[in-house]
Amino acid sequence: MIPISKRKIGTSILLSIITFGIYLIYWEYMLVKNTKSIKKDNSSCIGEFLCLAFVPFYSLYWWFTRGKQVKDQFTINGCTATGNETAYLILEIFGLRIVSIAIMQNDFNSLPSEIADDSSMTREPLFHIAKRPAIEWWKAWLIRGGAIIASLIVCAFIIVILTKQNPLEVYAAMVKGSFGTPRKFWAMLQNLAILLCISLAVTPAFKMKFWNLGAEGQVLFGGLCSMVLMFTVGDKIPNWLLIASMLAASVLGGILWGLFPAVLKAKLGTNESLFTLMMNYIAIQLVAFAIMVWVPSGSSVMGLVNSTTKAGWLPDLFGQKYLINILIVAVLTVVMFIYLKYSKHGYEISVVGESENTARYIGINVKKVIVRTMILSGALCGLAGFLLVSGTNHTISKELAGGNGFTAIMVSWLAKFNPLIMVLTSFLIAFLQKGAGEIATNFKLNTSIADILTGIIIFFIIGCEFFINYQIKSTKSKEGK
Amino acid sequence: MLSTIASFINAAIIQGIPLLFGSIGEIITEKSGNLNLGIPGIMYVGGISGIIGGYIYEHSVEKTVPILCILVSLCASLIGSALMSLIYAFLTQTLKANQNVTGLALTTFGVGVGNFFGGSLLKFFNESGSISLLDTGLAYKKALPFASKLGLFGNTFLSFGFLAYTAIIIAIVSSIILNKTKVGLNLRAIGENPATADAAGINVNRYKYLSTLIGGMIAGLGGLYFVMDYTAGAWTNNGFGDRGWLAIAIVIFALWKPKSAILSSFIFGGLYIICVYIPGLSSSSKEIIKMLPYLVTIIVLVVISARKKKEHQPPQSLGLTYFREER
Repeated sequence: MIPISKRKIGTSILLSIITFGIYLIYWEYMLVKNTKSIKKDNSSCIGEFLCLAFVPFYSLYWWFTRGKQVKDQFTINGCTATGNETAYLILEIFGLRIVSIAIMQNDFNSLPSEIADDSSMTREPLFHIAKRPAIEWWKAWLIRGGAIIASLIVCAFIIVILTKQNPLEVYAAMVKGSFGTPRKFWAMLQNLAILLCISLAVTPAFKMKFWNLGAEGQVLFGGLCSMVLMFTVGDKIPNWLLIASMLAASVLGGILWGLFPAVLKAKLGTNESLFTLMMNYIAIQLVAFAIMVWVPSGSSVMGLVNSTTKAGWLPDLFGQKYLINILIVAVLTVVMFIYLKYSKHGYEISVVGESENTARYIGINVKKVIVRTMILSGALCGLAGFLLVSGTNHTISKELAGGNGFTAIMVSWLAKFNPLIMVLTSFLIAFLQKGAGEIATNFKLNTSIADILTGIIIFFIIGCEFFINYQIKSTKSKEGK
Repeated sequence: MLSTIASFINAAIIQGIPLLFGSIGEIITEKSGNLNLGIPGIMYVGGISGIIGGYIYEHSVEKTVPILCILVSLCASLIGSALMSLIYAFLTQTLKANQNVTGLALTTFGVGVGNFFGGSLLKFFNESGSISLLDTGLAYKKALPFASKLGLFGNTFLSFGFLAYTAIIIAIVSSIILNKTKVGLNLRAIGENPATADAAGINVNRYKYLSTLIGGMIAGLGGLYFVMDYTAGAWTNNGFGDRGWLAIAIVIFALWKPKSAILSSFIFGGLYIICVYIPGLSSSSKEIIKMLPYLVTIIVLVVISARKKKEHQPPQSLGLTYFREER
């Protein structure tokens, strides 16, 4: 057996071009080694290779003699070589060494496997990926923390390239965006509350592996239902009754929007992610329609509704406009945590999510669980719509949910469906958005920088889950055992 | 009346071309089992990279050459959308992340990149105003020379820039590759059951990577067509709108068949703008008519799930991460 390294010629030439010739040097070295090993000579070939590379005109001698030797060795082994020492010499004179290399490699490749043993062709991969049984919680959080730090470093690079400012200053500006003034702090809390509310809404559905991409539409339609009441009967009934009926209408609206896809998914197995996605646009068009009807001037922007009577506006609490919103969502978070973790419903949801077959086997009515969970999900989205219309904006627009319906999916996923951790992840996102808004105005950039930074951070966090769930094992160490 | 219908058909095709690119790209990606919800973001990036490429070219030379305008912006667009698809493929294939979450994050990121550079590209070059690449736009819009001589027919069906025909050719070619070649068979096998395909010796990882990459690049061309041909080299933030999601809807409407995607895209393009062509509509009822494409998608979704025909179903492993050692 002669150890010969075989390689694909086309790939090697391509690799040589891509690496600007670095691969070619390696390839040539391996070829020199081959010419030695075919003579059963195991001595080092470094000296010969260096001479070939640096001694002038040595290469002409080398190609001529080695071409001959290789041909002879092939004949001894009962094979024929296509390469010819004269051809090599001529190619070398004209500077076409890569062709000679290819021809000689082709000869070596043609050696049958009984004579030439190539360990590189049948090489096992250096490592393989295996699922981790379970990882200590602190290790998992260490990995996540590392990913967030890494993503912040990447973001810093991007910010520096775009603004040419000291990244620490930029990050300081971001902190100011959320904590700079009490007003900014409350606004950030308000964003956090709405995002958290929608995230709580989508969580039970996701835990069940029901891909509700329609939170945006459910929020919007819920908000629209509130607005209809606020606009039409605003001054005709007592305020408490108005607010109560708006709340009910919003929740019902959200449920309705979530119920269509849920029922069809349960009955027919309709793809829910696309169904809910389309429902978003129907809700958007309904809102656009309503605005066209309500705003007489034909403008597509609706002003504050009932700005004098404040009918249907959630009252300020302790002088803070957003406090009610925040309190409601805080209570909801705890309730949702208990619901998912300790109630029978929550257990059923996680069983259906893990395996529908198991759920059926142990007697869970999967269809019922799907519909019930989506009712809950839609209701909470509707509530978010109510909080936005009645507690925050007092008006409605197509951008009421502002993409939070999609962001919520990521918030929920990043928190591994745990409502308490969602407080952290939605804080991260709200902080980023406010911070990016601040640097956008400070450094005269476009506010879309927030989306870019959010995207990068999310990429890192979803990427790092791999290192939590899987481990990379070296093949060598396994053999050693 | 006839001229109204002709101009409607013309407009429907123009609206349909970006959708066609997007849906072909998504079909190729989905056939390998990857549900790439990042397509809307990729299309934004495809558009803005084309704009950036074209802008840099137009500003670095005194006199522009049309063919170079096209080449530079086309390459830039392809590179941009390829990078985006690589992010998706790396996260979902190599790092085995959830496809839906990755796709949504990619869309957020891509739309952000599009709007960010669309809004501040001129600032980086110390200019003001809005982006408009007249020369590049004109180069893309150049129609077949004999189109205007063919009267109504020519104006309706032949008055498009070269990218429109490219879209149709890509659709037909990908239909042939998917259905008639070994590569297509392997790809479909992976989409149906990656474990079986793996056992049969098909390199699942390579196929999934390549199909996501190629699909993303094709979808990116949709964004390029929109900014270069439809808006003639001008960029408005969020101008591309929700067309990316519609492209994903068309994949279902066309039942994962590239050839049917051609007609479906034109139908959706028509539905997208039909409100302009119906006479006597008030501005509020126009908003209702604009719901049509989404309603139609929902109806198709429900109908195909109710009929449960085998050949009309999505690839079986769509949206699932494949891990060889998992049972």
